Amino acid sequence: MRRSPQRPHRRAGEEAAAPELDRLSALPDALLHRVMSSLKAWEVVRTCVLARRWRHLWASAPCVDLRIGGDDDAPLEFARFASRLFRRRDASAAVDMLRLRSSDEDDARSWIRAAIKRKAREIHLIGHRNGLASLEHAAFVSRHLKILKLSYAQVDDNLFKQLSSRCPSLEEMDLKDCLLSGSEISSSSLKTLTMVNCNMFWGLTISAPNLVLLRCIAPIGQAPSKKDGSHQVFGGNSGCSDSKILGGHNVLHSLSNATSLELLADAGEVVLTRELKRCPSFSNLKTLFLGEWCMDANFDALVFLLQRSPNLQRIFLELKLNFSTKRPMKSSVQPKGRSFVCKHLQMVKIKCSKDDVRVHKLAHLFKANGIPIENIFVRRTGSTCESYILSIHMFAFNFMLVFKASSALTIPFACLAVLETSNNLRGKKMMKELAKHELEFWGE
Amino acid sequence: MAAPESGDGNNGAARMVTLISSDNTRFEVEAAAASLSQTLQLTILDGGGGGGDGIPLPNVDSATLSKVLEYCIKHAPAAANGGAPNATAVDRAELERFDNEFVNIDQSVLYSLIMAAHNLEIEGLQSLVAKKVADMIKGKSPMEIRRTLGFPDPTPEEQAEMNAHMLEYGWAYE
Repeated sequence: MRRSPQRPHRRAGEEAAAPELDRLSALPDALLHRVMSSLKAWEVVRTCVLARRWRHLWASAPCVDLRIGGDDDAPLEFARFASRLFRRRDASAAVDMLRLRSSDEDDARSWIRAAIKRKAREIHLIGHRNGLASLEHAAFVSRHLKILKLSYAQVDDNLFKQLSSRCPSLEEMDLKDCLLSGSEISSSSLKTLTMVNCNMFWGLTISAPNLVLLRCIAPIGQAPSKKDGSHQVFGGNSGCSDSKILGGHNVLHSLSNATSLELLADAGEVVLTRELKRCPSFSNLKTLFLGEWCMDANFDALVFLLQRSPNLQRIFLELKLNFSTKRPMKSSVQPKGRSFVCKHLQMVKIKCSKDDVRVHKLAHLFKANGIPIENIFVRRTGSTCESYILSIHMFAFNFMLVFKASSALTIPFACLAVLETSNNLRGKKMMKELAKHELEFWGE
Repeated sequence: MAAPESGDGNNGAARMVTLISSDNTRFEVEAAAASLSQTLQLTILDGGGGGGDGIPLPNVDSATLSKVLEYCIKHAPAAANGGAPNATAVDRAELERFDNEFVNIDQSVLYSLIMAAHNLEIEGLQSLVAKKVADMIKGKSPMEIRRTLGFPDPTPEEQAEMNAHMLEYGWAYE
């Protein structure tokens, strides 16, 4: 029984007639194609000489990986190789995934065109650190394209428009180290949008009603100080008109379906504060993560959001670590207008610096609204960087929404990368104890 | 860490299911681990595999099944977190270490594994083994590949065919 499925020929006892199949070749096409998906395009084509079984498999391999690396033995006349590859592939076989590195833009565009013609579902393009891939005349018009990942590329208005209106199946877009010179992405199919290290010099408006996951990490933008010099505008282009501030208008509005939301920004952040006024009710929201910008004297923004999140289960508050404690706290929070109903709220986690006294006020606020002290956890910490990495890795949920505003101005991205390895969170028990101590001390 | 303790339901004592290999060995595992298999997930959701009955797997022998389950048990927590871009770096490094060691096995076991992963629709395991096999192909001449992968020696006729193909597909080498 054990080996029989893999050795049909031998079992039949006709070794002489049928060519002997090795066990690998005896696997079904789908699995051999899977193996090919981890090979570069030229390695895939070369498997055709291995044995009869492999002769035509390459022509319908679902993944075309044209990325040349340093130590590859890629064909020297690479452009010619790639065009032959597309010409000689099985015309009826879809290209499920195209991966390419743009060394020559004309080539890149023509390969993208070829892949799109063959119903490409997923395209990954990597440009060059020193020369962003320009996709100016690339034709992203496809009913099949579902996932697009770009790095070191320029995304201009024209491309955003194509992706918005000519790619009705586009669900996932992943942009890393890109220059986003277009002004708006508007897509009703888009579910996931990730922007890491992207330059949003011109400002960007996202309008995607079905978006469930937005991650905007370490954006780079011209961040001119406002006239009074106190506020920094996240990614805004000029500071003279707020219609072009990055994040655009209706950022929060278009996210009303989110189940998890992360709004991380420094104090004095203006986009989120402005958007708050028109934010909808987040009836699906289960997890909320807020930064310093919500920690104004009366926690107005915090309360405002809590009032609009009736089904919230967990809230994570991350207070600025170098908060000045010299200023004495005013009286405790006024109860008037401070009430909210979050029946399902089971966990409040507060992260702050060693001697931040606001934590007491916060605890009082939650307690006054019916959240038992046992459900409030406090973590004191000393390291700035650590706190931010925690914000990225602390939570394990299916849908996570990260909207990081102005944090790029205070946290170097490199710092995040380095600290990925040192990330740890103290146990729940310990935090509970800490919280209890705090509250006892505070005069329970 | 920070696993959603209060996640949506299904907690408490872990539910167990029984799987029966082709050679009639019974394996009891947590439903969460077995559910990494799309095929089994459906059965389990329907309430199958619990109690005295088990789920028979006529295409998977016990040696392969125990290996498959070793993979599933290790990967189940991460899968429960939704593939987790949020998993800690330590957790991810540990999984990677496990995976590397896991596929460091005899080729015949690899092929049984990928076949089982295919039948049981265990996405991650299929990719893991496929990648391992691809690594055995990379950077080798056709003859080296044939030797590495244990292809039988070519007959003279086959050899001639191979040579002819090398010529025809010169464009993939130049």
